[in-house]
Amino acid sequence: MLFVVVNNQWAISVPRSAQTGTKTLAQKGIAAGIPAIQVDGNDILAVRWAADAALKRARAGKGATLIEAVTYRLSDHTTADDASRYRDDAEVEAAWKREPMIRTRNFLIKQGHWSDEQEEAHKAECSKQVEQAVANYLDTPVQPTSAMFDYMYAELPEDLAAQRDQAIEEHGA
Amino acid sequence: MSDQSKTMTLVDGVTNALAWEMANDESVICLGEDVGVNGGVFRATAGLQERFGKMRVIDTPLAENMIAGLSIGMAAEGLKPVAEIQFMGFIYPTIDQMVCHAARLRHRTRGRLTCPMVLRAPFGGGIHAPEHHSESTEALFAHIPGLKVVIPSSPARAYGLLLAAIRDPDPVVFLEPKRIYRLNKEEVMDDGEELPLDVCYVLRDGTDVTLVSWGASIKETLEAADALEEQGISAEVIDLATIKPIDMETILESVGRTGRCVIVHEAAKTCGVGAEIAAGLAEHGMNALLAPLVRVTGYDTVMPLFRMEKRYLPTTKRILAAVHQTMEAA
Repeated sequence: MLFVVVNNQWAISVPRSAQTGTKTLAQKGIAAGIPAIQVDGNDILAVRWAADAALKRARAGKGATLIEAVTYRLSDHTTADDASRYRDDAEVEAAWKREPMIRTRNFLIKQGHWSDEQEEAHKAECSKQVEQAVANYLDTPVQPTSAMFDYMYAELPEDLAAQRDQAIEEHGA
Repeated sequence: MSDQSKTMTLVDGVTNALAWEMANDESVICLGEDVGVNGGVFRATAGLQERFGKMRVIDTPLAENMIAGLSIGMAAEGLKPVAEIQFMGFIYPTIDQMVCHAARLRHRTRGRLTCPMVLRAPFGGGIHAPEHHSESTEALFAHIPGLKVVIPSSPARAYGLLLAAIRDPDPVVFLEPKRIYRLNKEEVMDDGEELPLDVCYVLRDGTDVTLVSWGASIKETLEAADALEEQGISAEVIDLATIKPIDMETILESVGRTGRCVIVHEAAKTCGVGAEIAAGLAEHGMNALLAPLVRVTGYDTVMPLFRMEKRYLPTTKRILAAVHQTMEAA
């Protein structure tokens, strides 16, 4: 078993420091009696290295590992949230400098493994995939009324079957 | 603060009641996730931390079991905590604390320790929320000896009932119908006047059938009563308001006159609070009933996601059909 804690620093408006008295979330592994490691969650190579080591341990039958990947919630919690009510712009700006995608790109370009052309092509491809996923979602028909009932039990009890019939009668199949 | 009439929504009723009581009773403490700096995800505690400080409006860690446990400890030592659980779908970790400690502290200690706390939570569906954000499980708490359960359905009742809940010497679960948080506005006197926790409210007089409901379903129930009036059927509408204790006297008196009863609630049907009312009518009002009562409720299913939720929620159409059923039965 591999536990990955994505520590993005904020639970809506409450900062990590107010969530627990420990210095790190990796320390929680001590109470569970398992090795734990804190990595820079915005460093894709560090995360890969930590995960590889932990998986190797697990696959060798040596037990679980906890990885705390330290990152940052750059966006609002939801579309209904307004993070400017409770955190400083300066903090968010600083976090953007550690944004993992930009960091990885800069690293790859420096290493000669990536170019602006590839980046543009990749972005276009990603946009296409996202647009397609949105289109697929919007095209997904609403489930039939019976779907409210169909997955409640292996076998639908009689009284629930009667409720299903009533719902179908009111709202259609 | 001077007594004054304010235009309030239901959620304003909550905020104003909290502000009034915090200003007038230093032992009242608000706590919960995001209730402080952020003012609550539904803005129910907006402005309270600014006004009363971080010692009295506390942003807690994301741990509902702890929020309830902390409140019980505060209450036992003389404070009056009002804890917010962000959505009723997150309330289940508190059940251990509420059932094993809050509900029985007075009894366990033969009255030496008490638990004057309020556990607030927005509840119910109809706001296009994701999973775990739409349930109505008031019956879970109503079933627990030692707890009281209150559900307001108007700004004035939110204000008056919350004040009463905070002042009550025992633990109260206060559930706020979020679908109607901002539906209606009304003038409410911000004067610290509480409402009783053991009476229901007759919202509309009628002679042919008694409709009993609570929470957001009051909206559809009142709409049904309007439609019934046009059909020549006079419906009395009762807002239960206090789910526990239930004011059966008012319901029995009403059904004694109308002879018919339809109970409307959003929660699942089986073992819902409607069943308790039906039992009360069977025990004490059997002779008054001219026809079998009918329950219009949510189904015994998981509350569906938002594209399906309208098919789950009791509709005006279903209430009308239930009334016709009971009118035609005898």
